Amino acid sequence: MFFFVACTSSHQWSAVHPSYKKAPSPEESIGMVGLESAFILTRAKWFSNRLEISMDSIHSVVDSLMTSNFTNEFKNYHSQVLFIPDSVKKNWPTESQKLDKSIFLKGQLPAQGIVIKNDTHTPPYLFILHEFVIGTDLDRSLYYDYTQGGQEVEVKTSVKHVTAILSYTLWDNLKQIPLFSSVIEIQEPYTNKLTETYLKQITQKAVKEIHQEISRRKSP
Amino acid sequence: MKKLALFFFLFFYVVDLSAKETVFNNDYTIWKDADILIWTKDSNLVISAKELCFSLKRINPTIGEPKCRIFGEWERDSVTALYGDWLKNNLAPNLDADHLRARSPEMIKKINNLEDKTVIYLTQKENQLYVALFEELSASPKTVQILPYSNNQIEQGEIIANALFKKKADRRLTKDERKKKAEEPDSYYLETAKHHSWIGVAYGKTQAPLPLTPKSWYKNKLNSRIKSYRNTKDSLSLWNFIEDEAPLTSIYFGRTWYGFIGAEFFYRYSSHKAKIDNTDPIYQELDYWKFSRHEIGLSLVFSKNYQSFSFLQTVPYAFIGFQYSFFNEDISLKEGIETPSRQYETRIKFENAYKGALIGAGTHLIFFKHYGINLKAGIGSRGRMLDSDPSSEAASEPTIIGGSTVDCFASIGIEYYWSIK
Repeated sequence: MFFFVACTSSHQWSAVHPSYKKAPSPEESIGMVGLESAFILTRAKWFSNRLEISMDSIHSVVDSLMTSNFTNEFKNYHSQVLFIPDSVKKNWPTESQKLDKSIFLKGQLPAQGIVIKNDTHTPPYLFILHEFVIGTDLDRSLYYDYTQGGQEVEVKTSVKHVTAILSYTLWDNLKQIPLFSSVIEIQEPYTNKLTETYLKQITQKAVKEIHQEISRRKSP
Repeated sequence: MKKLALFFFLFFYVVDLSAKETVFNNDYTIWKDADILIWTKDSNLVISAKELCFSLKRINPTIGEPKCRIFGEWERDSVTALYGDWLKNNLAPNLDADHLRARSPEMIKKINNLEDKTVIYLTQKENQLYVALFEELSASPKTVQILPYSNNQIEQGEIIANALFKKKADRRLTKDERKKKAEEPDSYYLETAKHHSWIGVAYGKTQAPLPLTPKSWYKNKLNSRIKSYRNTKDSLSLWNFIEDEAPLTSIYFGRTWYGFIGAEFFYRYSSHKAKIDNTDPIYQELDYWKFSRHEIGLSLVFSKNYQSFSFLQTVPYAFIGFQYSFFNEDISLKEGIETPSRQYETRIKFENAYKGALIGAGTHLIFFKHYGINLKAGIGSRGRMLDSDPSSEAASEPTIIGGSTVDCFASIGIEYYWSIK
């Protein structure tokens, strides 16, 4: 276990732009993009059995549950959250941001020179959520470290943790630069009961960590 | 009048002209007869294409006849306008090239299609002029400089030319050359020069016994003495007749391809005394008797390059080759002796030339890419020429003198290196 921690902690999981000097204050408005398509549930059957939701609707139910949890939690830290529909992303170029030697975060980012608006309001910052993966005993290296990609991972019958992996970018909407990009991993110990409150706790932890990372302004 | 004004500015702004802050500077090319395109999103920027061109010609004599103009196409275009505005917003100190990369595929395509034109993007910020230089095939600026801003066109041209265009200009390529160059591997990956040549002189020692071998192998040869100008116990090796230990001088020229396989041409010289038996009274007439050995040959070299330090390249190598040896006799009788003895007249004669092989290893130590030290050791042989067919009386033929003469050698050399990419 110690070896495992030592291995994973050697990677840098975030990248900070040299011009990122000041974290967004709680009063400043933040546009939120990507929530409609970021959520991915792995091991749907396992979740379906535990949450007692039928397989037909497990994806849509958990998706809406997690997204609403996420936005509600986010509002605790930033009062002015503007929800921007995913249709805005349609023409954004897809590209990879380098976080570490072998770690790349792939996602869509707004074009240079174009300011994103929500009706009449122009938020100075955008929070772009690229992916929000929920599963059991996952490791973010397997998703974002290209040297570890293609590894076959055994699906274990005994679950120790429920994992959430979130990748996001804090975007300067006025200057169109990625201020802070990161991949976070939340491991929530699992005993034997899975409830909606339990999933809410994971989201709470994730949002808290995101907030801490953004406020710190420096990558670890 | 203009010249006078220029002189005035040069005189008073000589410090100002060279003041610059480099944000980052990657390698870029200055073309001879360059096409310089000035691109800016500032409406009130003081810049004149004509004056910039004058400054370029004055500052860089290698640049030929440059053409400068305002890049109207990009100033009007909506794709470049977006990137131009973005650059204006984001140019700042402490960034690197990747932070300023154009991300839109259309914009990247436009930069890629520049061919051998150079675009300089200018924007004014707080009495400073930010200059970003673009070249084809790179989505980010090649260099960004922060220069002093001037309200005078002549001076501004001078400042820009000084900061960005002082390097030696390269000839512009023809269409075919461009096509060929596009297919070449990136010079970044070309770590080893295509050809590596050296010329050197070396000094060392040659001797018959190989180090760490038993003395009994050589005892007979080395103790042998010539009696009556021709008699020895054995004549197979020349070391029966002449001293084996001698200083060795050589000059050589070599070249490797891709730092791996190569050839070396060499000439070696050493001088060997005849081993006369001093107890034999016949030698009283003799002043001196020695042989100069001249050897020329060619060896095949296998080597590998290691960059040991930034200033030192270590190139261990092994070689195998062939050589021709010539022994020039140098003999003289004492003064006053008019007629030599009969034995002198019928003294031993070596073959005209011996053919042999050599094998060995060594290492080049190359300092600052050009100055080398060469350590080399090996074994060389020389024997009878095998060019002629053995005659029918071969069995009764006497042994060829020096038919199997082996020695080893070690030398240290100084060299000059040059490489051709």
